[in-house]
Amino acid sequence: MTGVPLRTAAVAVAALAALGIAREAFFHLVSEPVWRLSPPRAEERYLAVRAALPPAGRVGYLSDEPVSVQPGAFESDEWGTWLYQRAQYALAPLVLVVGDATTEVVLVNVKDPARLDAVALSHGLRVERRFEGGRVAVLRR
Amino acid sequence: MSALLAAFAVALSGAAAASFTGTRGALRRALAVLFGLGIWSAAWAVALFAYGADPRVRLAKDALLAAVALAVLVFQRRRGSPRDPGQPLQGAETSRWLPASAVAAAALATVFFLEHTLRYPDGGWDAWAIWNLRARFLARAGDGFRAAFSPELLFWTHPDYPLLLPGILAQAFLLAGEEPLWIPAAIAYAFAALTVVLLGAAVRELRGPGWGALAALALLATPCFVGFAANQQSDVPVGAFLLAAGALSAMAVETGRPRLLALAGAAASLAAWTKNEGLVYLLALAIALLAVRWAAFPERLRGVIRFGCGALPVLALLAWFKLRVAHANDLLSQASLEPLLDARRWAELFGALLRRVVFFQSWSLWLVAELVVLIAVVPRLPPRASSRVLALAVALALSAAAVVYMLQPHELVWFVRASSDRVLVQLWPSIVLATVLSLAAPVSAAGSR
Repeated sequence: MTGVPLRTAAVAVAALAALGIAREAFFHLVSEPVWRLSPPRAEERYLAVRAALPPAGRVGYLSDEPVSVQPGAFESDEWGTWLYQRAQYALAPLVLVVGDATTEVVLVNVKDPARLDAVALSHGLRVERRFEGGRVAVLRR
Repeated sequence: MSALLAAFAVALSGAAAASFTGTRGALRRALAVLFGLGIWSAAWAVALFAYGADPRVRLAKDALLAAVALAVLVFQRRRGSPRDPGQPLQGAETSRWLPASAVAAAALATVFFLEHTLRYPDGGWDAWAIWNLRARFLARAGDGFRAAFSPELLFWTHPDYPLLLPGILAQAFLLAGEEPLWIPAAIAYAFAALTVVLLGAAVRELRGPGWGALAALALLATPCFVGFAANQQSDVPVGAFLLAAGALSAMAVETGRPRLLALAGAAASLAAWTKNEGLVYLLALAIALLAVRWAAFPERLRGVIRFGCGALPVLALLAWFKLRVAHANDLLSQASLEPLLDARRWAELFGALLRRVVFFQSWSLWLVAELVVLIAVVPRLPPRASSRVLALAVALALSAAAVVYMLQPHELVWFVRASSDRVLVQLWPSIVLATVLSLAAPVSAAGSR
């Protein structure tokens, strides 16, 4: 045998392809139907705060949720890391420096707005402006 | 005006590179677009780091690229085509349902791509957290673009990753004067489509049209290929460049045109400029080209030197980037060799990988079928050098990936679950190519195709 006959291969590939496409169709059309709304884009949460921050440079970043900052040492809840990454994506080319409260303005991004003042106080900062119902804020010393 | 010049730069530089392949039709066009995008992005990185982010630098770069490419094309035309490929192959047994199935699968894949794009317009996690983020830095920061590589950015943003994809995205954003969501999505779609066309056309060139349609169908019907494309991950572009390198290598081996290896090297170097794994694949392919007996050793050595020469310009850029700009890699920066001696960790790794092989959501039954073919069918067929080169390259790449899995600092099973599909999807088009090259007899000797 110098090779597998095309007809034989075609039958096998057709069967596998039918299964694969069925799986794709189930995922894209049933499991995550397009008519169901997606979560709001990162842009929307940070649209207003962008104007209150410098256009570039370093900005301190604080949160009420822990952020995984070391490879291999993950926090138990990745919400804080996700929140930071979304903020960094929305606000580039600002460099958001996790845990740094020494910059002129500091961005705070909290899961629970009730914790905003406590986060600011714990770093000796005051809340300058609140956004998104207090979930996002700009702090100053 | 600048957008038109950029389009000329991409089209002409790609056409110039593809003119050395001696191919034509869809294969040549796919290679041209792929090389064009890669060269356009790599040239911008050089211009950006050397002369800054002034828009005039970009304009001059595109003008220079277009002019040089035009000169190369004129030179090539005067010199004559390196090879007249003759009439396109017509497989006697090729029924119409095979290409029709591939076209139908492509249409469905497009629908799935659109659905996922509408749902996640910023792409998947890696897309927005790494690739599109970097593109935003490069497009928005002007002369402060080096902030994209700040060590103060968390390791999740991978500032050490090379810039082919962000380079394309950022230039497109700058040309558009805004950052519409359709640009990253369109580029992701283009790379996926190029991969499918390139695979189908390369197999058609080497094994006939029926096998070409089969290969394209197999790729389109792989669930995670469409998913990763729609997620705008760089794994699909890496896979495209790697496939180009593999296809050109296979053509060099089978048709006795070792000069194609220089282009294979160039394609592999663009894979390395897309993602760190690309460098591993480049080295694996070079080793395979030297190790597999497809010609006498001195000829193989000359072939690998050609491969290296083709890769050299982009590798020089990559080396400069890694030494001067990119910071420590998060996977290997704290590595100790001790985990390599841990038998339990190896067992854990293979167990986790085995689970991915049968992970229906990502792979349906394709990986299981691949293993069956490798175990039960390929050993009964005559060995083919081109297939063995690609197979050895893939095996070496997977072995290197296994070592990285052992050494990386994250929890092993979590990391395998998070990344192994991406590693495999980078290699998958090349694996399909290698498999078809093994299963089907070369067109000159084929009784059936």
